[in-house]
Amino acid sequence: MGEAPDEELMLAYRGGDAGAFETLYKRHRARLFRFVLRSIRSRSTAEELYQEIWMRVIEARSSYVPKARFTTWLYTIAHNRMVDHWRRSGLSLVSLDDADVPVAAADPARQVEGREALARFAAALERLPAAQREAFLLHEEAGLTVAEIAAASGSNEEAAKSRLRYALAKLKAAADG
Amino acid sequence: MAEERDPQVSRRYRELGSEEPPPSLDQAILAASRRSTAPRRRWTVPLAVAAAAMLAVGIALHVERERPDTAVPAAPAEAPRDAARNAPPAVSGRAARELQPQAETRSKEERSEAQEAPAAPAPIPQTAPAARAMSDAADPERLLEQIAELRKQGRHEEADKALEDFRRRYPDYRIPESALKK
Repeated sequence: MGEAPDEELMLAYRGGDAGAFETLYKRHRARLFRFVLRSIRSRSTAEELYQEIWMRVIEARSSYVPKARFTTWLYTIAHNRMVDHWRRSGLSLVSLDDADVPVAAADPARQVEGREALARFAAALERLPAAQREAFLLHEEAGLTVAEIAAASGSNEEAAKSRLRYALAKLKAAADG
Repeated sequence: MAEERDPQVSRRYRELGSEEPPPSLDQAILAASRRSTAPRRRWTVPLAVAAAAMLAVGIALHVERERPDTAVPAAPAEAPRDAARNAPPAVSGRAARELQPQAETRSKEERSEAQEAPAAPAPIPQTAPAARAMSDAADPERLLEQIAELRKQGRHEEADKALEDFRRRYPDYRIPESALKK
């Protein structure tokens, strides 16, 4: 079962195999956690949202149908949950595209002392508008293609491609600098 | 081009760290997944049937007392259906609570209860026809239209609740602005 495709595991879980979920969970836990953590940055909120995303996966197991890659489905759920979170924080969906999401100061534990280039990169990632940051994280952390980023974030391929391009350009400038 | 990774950006990104969820979170999630596939306790089914029967009898008696002059008693025919709708979640909810570790939050318990009885909607008060219509509908597009209609009517509290239920049933569904916007 360890080598089985994600979709097969999710179908096995839908059929009542809790072990299949465990394999699936172990496969995706770290990447999904970092995706949420770097999107939200407050560790406690990120942990809460991370748990809620998996709870939604669990709740939706009986209706799961593999229409796309499991990864795309999982990150679509993550995207929807985070949009709900931002909406409740008073941000409209439009502002996610245009503006940065206001967050608390970066966690000092995550600052790397003496490594200016890395600190600059971290700051550039945090400064990205939410939609661009999400496109980058879906690409870099979750390994989604542009088409899958569009599907997961409820946009079209042109918008996803453009967001990813802008994000990469800004991050490259920070990495080079 | 956008499909390709920039090696320098990727390297910097990896240097940021490889945080992982805490073990307590892993355990809570895996425990929830195991609960979701655990067979129901044997005593819950007969208990649910007994509870439904008692409720049906109770409602029938109540209707009988309240409407002594009614020539054709239509309500008792409705009673078993309502009772059956109401009873199973109560039993499932108790079973779910017993299976819950104490450390988990109340909201998680509520989610678990909802998950235990997906086909049995919560009791619907007669004063909320929109909510009743909402839970009767199964098509996601229709549900979203109804949520948008609630928004139009300014019934945001009901719309929020319906939206929350919708998210649980269809977590990957894209929700249009008309259903979100207040």
